[in-house]
Amino acid sequence: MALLACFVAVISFILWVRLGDHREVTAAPAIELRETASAEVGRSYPASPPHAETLRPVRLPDNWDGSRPDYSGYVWYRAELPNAVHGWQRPTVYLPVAAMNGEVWIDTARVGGAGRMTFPLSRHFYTPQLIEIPRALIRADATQSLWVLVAGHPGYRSGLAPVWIGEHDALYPAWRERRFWQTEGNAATIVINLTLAVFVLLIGWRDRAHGAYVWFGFAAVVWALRNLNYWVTHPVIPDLLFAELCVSGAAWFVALFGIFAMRFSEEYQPGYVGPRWFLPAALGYAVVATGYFLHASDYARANAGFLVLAAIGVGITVWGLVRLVRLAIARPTGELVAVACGALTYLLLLLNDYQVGINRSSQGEIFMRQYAALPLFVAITITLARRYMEALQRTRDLASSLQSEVATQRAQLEQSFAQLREAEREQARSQERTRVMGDLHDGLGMHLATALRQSRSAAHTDRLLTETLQDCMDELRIAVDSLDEHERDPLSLLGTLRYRMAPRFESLGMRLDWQVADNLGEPPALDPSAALNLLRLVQEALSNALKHSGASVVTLSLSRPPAGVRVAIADNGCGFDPATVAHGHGIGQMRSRAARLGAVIDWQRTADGMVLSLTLPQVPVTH
Amino acid sequence: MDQVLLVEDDVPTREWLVALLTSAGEPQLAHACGTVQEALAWLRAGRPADVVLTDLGLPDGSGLEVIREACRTPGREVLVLSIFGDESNVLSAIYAGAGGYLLKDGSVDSIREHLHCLRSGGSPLSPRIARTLIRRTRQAPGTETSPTTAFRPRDDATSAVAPSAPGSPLSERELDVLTGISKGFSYVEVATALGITTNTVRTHVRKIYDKLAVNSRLEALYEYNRRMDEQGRPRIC
Repeated sequence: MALLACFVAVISFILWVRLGDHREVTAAPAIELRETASAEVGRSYPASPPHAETLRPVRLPDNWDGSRPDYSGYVWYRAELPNAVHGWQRPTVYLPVAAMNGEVWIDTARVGGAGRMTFPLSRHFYTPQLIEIPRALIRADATQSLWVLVAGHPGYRSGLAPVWIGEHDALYPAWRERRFWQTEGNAATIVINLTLAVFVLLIGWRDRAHGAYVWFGFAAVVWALRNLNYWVTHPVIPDLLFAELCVSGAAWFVALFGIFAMRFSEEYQPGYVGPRWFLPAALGYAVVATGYFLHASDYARANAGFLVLAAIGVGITVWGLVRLVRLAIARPTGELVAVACGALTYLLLLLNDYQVGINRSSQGEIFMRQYAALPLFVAITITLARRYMEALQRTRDLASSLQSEVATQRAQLEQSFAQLREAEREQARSQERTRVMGDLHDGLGMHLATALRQSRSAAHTDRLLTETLQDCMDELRIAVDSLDEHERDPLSLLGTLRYRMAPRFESLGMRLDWQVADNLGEPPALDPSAALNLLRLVQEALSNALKHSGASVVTLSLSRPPAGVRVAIADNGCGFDPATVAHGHGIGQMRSRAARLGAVIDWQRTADGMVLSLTLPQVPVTH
Repeated sequence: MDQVLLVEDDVPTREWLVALLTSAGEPQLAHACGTVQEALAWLRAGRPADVVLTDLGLPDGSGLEVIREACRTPGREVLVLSIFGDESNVLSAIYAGAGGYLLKDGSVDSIREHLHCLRSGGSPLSPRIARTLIRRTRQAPGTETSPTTAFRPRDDATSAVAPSAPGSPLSERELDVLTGISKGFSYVEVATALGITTNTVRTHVRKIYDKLAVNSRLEALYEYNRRMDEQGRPRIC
């Protein structure tokens, strides 16, 4: 709403300036001189005013493009110095417009002017002049002439606006105001435009999400540079080139701003897609206009094409501005409505300036476009700034939500890891339970069942039952041993087994020798299942030796061949052939246990008896 | 004649042991009971008990209480009854002051012989218990013995004999004996390997038991005093 009020104020002000009282100086005493006599004196700077007979009457304003279209050089304008001048303290001449440049003479004496009056002229076409007439030049006894010498060239609205003469203090406010709008205010718009442009370009360049604004940034830069036209009086480059660059700049601005309007609409208005040909067409227009103007050898030739190119430019601009208005209708947000209002204002004054530009009879209008552009540019920049701030805020929000998200994820991850570990432990426990239960069932359970059967049998003997129960005890011990967490290396397992079984050998008059190689070191620990298999296997072998070999000495030994650990059970008994021996000896069972251990098992007949050797792998097999 | 106090709550086992100990011979059963309170009452009353045989899991408490009470009298033999000679029970009994253990598996039908044997020189020491004792010694700060390589004949000049670690309660020789037993060698084999008599091995084992019991009592005392100091209360000296 504030923006809207702003625009209304700007429009009202401009309309007041445009449509209000055309009498420029309202204070008194001041006289507006419109009726003059003039003479063209060619392209060389005149030493004095011409004779009265060469003059012909001219009514001001005199716009050369209309009154002398191809003329390049100097024109004298003469008016009679009014009698009132004698009563003024500081008689002063005010030239609102003397284009390209002008100076004031009284009779044959030059009073003053600005810049350079010889070709190439300085660019003072937009500089109002306030020139005080020295009192010494005013004579009471004669009619005096007030001369204005104007230098100009075709195609640039050269000429002279109505001249004012009056008391200095009466003219001063009008001059001051015009000077402000035409010079200082203009410079201010250039600075503001450049600032906005740099801001927009920096953001648009760094973040391509705001790509449309890059077009606007360039347009604003071109616009600011182009407006130097009204401010620079002594360009460092040739005058014609400077002028044509300024005109071309207008074309570039039109093209860039049109493209911006299209891209901007595409970004803000869902579903809207601008015509594909527009971008190349607009840029093509700018290139053609630049080429044409820079190629022109003089102002006149350049001016010949101005009308057409300016009309195309106005067309493109109107299209772009109407696009912005339609965007605001489609999406009536505050920002976009502000942009549309800026666009309408701009359009209004653009058309006004265009009308001024092609008017070949008027002089002295103030061009308003550079001012009208400010609200539009500011509104556009505000949309970008808002977007940028929102993006920043989103980034901040995102960062903080990401952080909390990460923390949550980490917590969840840790939790699921903990669950996984717990599940793994549970699985390990479950496997262990299954193994122990299976083992109790197959081992101890089977022996107990046998014992029960034997005790119920009519033909049972105590000796047989005792043996079976002893087996039960052995089974149970082996099961308990295999679960010990510290005692699962072959040396500990077999040392304990030997310790338990030795008395049984002794009770039968046999000997169980136990040999441990010196280089054994600390053999690797087995897992519970492997430990059980090893104990069962060796126990089976020792039992076989005890029951069937008929040996007097059985030797259990543990050694370390280059690879792995070797367990050997040697006896000096009768021996047997493992290929033909009965199943009761558990050979098959031993082989399968060895396979589960990943060990190599083999039986060999020796001169004395039998040797069973079992070679365990270096790295124990786990199940 | 030595008198035996039997503390066992399992009736068949108790009856079997009573039967063994009441038959003709030495030592003779003085009293058989099934609870901690009864046993403590017997001991505190100063009734005869030269040898105490006790189970650990009793209905009204732990046999360790009986062991501690019984050990107050010097020269008394205290033994634990165990099914397997399983290390955790046996060890806690040893640390409480027991001089050994008897297995209940019926392999000690000639219990008197075993008791004589125990009286004359130490308990049976299974390889598992020996290994646990070694581990315990190793874990003591500053001890670096390597039991698996320490067991070598003494007359082998090239062999490296593990020195007794400072702070270890056991002497070098005791550690050698323990190491041999831990590998499953019999007392005779250990004696042969070390060039000593079997009886000396038994004596060493006996000393190991005693030292461990004393050591654990000292540790407990030290721990108790440390806590008392922390709380600013008087120590036991």
